Amino acid sequence: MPTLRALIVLLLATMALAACDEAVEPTLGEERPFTLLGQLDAEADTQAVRVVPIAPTIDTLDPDAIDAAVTSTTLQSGEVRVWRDSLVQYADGSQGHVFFAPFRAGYEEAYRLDVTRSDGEAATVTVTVPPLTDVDSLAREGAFSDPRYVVGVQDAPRLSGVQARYEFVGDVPRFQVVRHSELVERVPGGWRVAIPFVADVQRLIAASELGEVGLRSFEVSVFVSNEEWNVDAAGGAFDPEVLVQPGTLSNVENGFGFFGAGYRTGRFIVPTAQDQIRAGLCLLNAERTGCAE
Amino acid sequence: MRVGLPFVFAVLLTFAFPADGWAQSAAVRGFVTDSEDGVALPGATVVLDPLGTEERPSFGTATDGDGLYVLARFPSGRYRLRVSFVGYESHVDTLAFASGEIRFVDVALRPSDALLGELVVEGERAEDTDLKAGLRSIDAADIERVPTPGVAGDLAAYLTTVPGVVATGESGGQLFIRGGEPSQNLVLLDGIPLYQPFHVLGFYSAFPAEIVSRADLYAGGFGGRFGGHLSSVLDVSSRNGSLRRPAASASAAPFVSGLRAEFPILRDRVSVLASGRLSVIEDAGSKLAGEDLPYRFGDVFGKLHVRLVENSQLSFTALHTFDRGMIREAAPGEPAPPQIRWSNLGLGGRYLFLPGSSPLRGEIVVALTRFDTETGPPGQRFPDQQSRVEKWSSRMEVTQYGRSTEIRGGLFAGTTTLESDLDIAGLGERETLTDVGLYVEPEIRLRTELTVTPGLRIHAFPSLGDTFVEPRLRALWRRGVHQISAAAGLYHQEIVGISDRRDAAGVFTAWAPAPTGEVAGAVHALVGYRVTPTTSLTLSAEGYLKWLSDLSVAEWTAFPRFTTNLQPAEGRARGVELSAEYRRGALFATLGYSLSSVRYTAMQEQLPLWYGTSALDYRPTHDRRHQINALVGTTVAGFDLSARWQFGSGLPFSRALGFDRFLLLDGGVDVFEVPATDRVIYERPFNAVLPAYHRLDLSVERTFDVGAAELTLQAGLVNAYDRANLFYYDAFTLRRVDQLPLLPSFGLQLAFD
Repeated sequence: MPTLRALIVLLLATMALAACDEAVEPTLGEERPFTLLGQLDAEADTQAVRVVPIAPTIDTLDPDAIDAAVTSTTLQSGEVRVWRDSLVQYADGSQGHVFFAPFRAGYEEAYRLDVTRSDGEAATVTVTVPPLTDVDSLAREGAFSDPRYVVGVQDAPRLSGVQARYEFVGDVPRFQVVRHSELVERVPGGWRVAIPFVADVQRLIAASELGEVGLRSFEVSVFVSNEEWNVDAAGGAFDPEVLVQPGTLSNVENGFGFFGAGYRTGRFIVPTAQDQIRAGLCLLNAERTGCAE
Repeated sequence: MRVGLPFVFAVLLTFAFPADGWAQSAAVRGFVTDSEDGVALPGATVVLDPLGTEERPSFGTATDGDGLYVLARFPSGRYRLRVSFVGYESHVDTLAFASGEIRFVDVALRPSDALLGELVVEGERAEDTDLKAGLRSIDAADIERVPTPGVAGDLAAYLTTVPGVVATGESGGQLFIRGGEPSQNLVLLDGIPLYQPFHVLGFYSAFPAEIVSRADLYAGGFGGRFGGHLSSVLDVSSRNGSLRRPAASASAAPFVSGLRAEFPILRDRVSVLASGRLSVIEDAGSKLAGEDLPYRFGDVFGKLHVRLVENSQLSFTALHTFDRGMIREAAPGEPAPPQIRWSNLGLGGRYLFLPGSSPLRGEIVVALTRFDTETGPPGQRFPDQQSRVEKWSSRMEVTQYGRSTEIRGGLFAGTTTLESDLDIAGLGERETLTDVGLYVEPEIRLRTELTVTPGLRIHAFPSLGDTFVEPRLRALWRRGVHQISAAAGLYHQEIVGISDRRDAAGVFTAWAPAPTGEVAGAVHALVGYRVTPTTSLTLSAEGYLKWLSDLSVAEWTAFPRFTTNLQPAEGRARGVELSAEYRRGALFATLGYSLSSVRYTAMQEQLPLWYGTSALDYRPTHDRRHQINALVGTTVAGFDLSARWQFGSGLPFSRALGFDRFLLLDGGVDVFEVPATDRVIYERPFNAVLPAYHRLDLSVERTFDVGAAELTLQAGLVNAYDRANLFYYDAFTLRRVDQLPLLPSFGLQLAFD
């Protein structure tokens, strides 16, 4: 019987120990302090960067107060600017800290952005604003049924944010934009983009179930970007499913995210009457207020 | 001339399997039933001993799931027929067979009055219920031994005691068998395929012990009769209702309450068995647990069984199940946790026929199954995701019995309609597939000790232009107390279940044709050894290998949301399972250990960019390396006591570095206006392991005679030492979700038999 009692005691002790909770940390923790999102825009009077502290849980993302100080340094002049914090409420209900500084970034100027936590841990990024350049209308090319309007950009380190912007006349949304960054091609001395005008317009008409529609303007614009704004390794496309992986497009030292530099520029193009008709558009009257009879 | 179906069938069979040498041989077959209720007794031993001639050997077999035995092609003459089954008095009869004679001898066994309970556990299991190369045959008594909250046992609770069966959670109804995903398991009830028959609370399924006659679990290496699934087969046969007397029971418990009724419509000819259960855990169980248990489920089963004539039977089975529950935490931006809902509808007819002119067994099964599943906020009219699969299937099978061979072959055809509102790899919202095929499976007894069952299955999908030729092989060697079995086979799965299994809560499964264009395949190889050193003790060991190809697994993404983007993957599962079973007197004990390893190699297009490698080798969420199951039961002073302890080493999960936000910076973006989405900063997929899981369940039960009825009272504890078992860390939020806490349960059942 003593043996049985000992066995029972041992069993109960084992059960008591077994009932103890074993903890495992679901997050390893991350020493890098911040994710930076945004860019210097040479066409803007105020520069901005969104600063996201790396959070151990999803509930603690974007706190009301942020332990961060943001400064920028113009590398050539050594001028230092202190950026101000703002807590932004977005339309989707989320909030975020956007730091801003009222200055215009200079073309071909290099800047260093330092985002520093009170313990001294800092995320840093250095960017150079691309030189000023223009979009040139180069040619109309391609098959009869699928013409392409080609634009070129010289002396740009990179292109991103390629947009075909259509302004319609009729009982329709006036402006519609089709993104075409995947069509950027490197050519000697610069870049070219061939916009599928007819396919774009046909797709917009089909999607919007538009009635009789005319085209008031057609503009191709690009975001001339710094050298690091490079998605070649990601297949040349700005695919969120690819780029969402941390580190895939990142130039931030000791942090995550991407902070670029550049500016937007564009060129208006007048498609041929045949291409407009082929795309399903009417030709506008002389006042450009409606379809010609 | 009007020709009946049995005649056509017999002619077909005769041409399909020409008999030889009938002139000098005889055959006997029949059904073995319980004399009191007329219900079939599967697994009964039938032996034919020759009389008067010492040199002639004995012939033996065991009854199948219908209680049918067939002994064929033995020399004519006088024999003694012995039929025995544990818990019943043996039947002995002397029979004389003329040359070419085929005789029907139905046997009704009387339950033994003496030491019935002890005999049930003492007796050896019948031959065909042995563990053979991945096969485990389960009967209602096996199921009843496993403690569950409530009086009636359930097949789901039993299955989680089987080595190699991994349940990633106590809720969700997901069983992974030897490395295979739940959608790779074929589940049949009387030939009706069921897509998700396991209830949202892991103790329960559509198979309460009360309706189960027998369940065969092939954990791998299954024969040519089964196909279309990569991993395993659970072939459940429901029992027939009583042909002699009405019986009924009602049970109540804080988890599930139920009713059962069975009665003869025409004595000895037509019977009905009906069962229904409804969960009450959401109300009563939650109060006992002290926390919300947001699960609701139920099932209704009915079976009509008709003995048309001596040599043919007809049955109709109907099943409906429903489940709803909240398993996952609310994802970022979701107002409430999503609710998973699913339902099964199964209807089937089965015709069993034994032609009078030859020792054949024929079977025709026609079935319709429909499975609906959806997930979304509770009460929302339109779910976030939904999927439906509906399948019409038919199978015709014949078995020819010889002295040393048993040839089984069949034809099958089906039409499957798949609907989903998910954008799965460009598949349409509605897809219809037709499949046809045939199989042949001769069982050849080469020597007394060795039985080999080669098989071949040809499965074609004409609309897709795919035809699969799948060789199979099963073998059994037996000498004395030793038994070695082996199995191998090639398998394909054209219709796959698509899940986002980045954590254990990913139970929503949409069904679709192979989305990557490549049909998933598997090769199984397994070998087992079993020894019975005493009549009380059985020891067994089995090793297995499964190679899986062309799998479709969820793409890896740092976005915290459900994804139906799929990536190709290869996999392999391997393991060793050891088990010991001891039965002596009223004592029953089993101990099982499983050592397994499952690896997937994913080949997502972005992997070279993300990780610098074209393939990512990882342990999927169901790779439980070590598993121990212990079950002990006995009877003391009229109380049935049972305890079950299970242990599982930790399952893999993805540990993150932290959380931040992601913004697609395609050109300049106004960060004052454009919000950013949540992002999980993962290091690598499945780079960590959860803590071990273990749980003790206890049950005590006693039955009292109350006039014409029996009253059974039960009390139990689930998770008796209140272990805080970690269910999963949410793949999106990394919030901790635990399994069930300590749950006391009480139940009663009133039965009229």
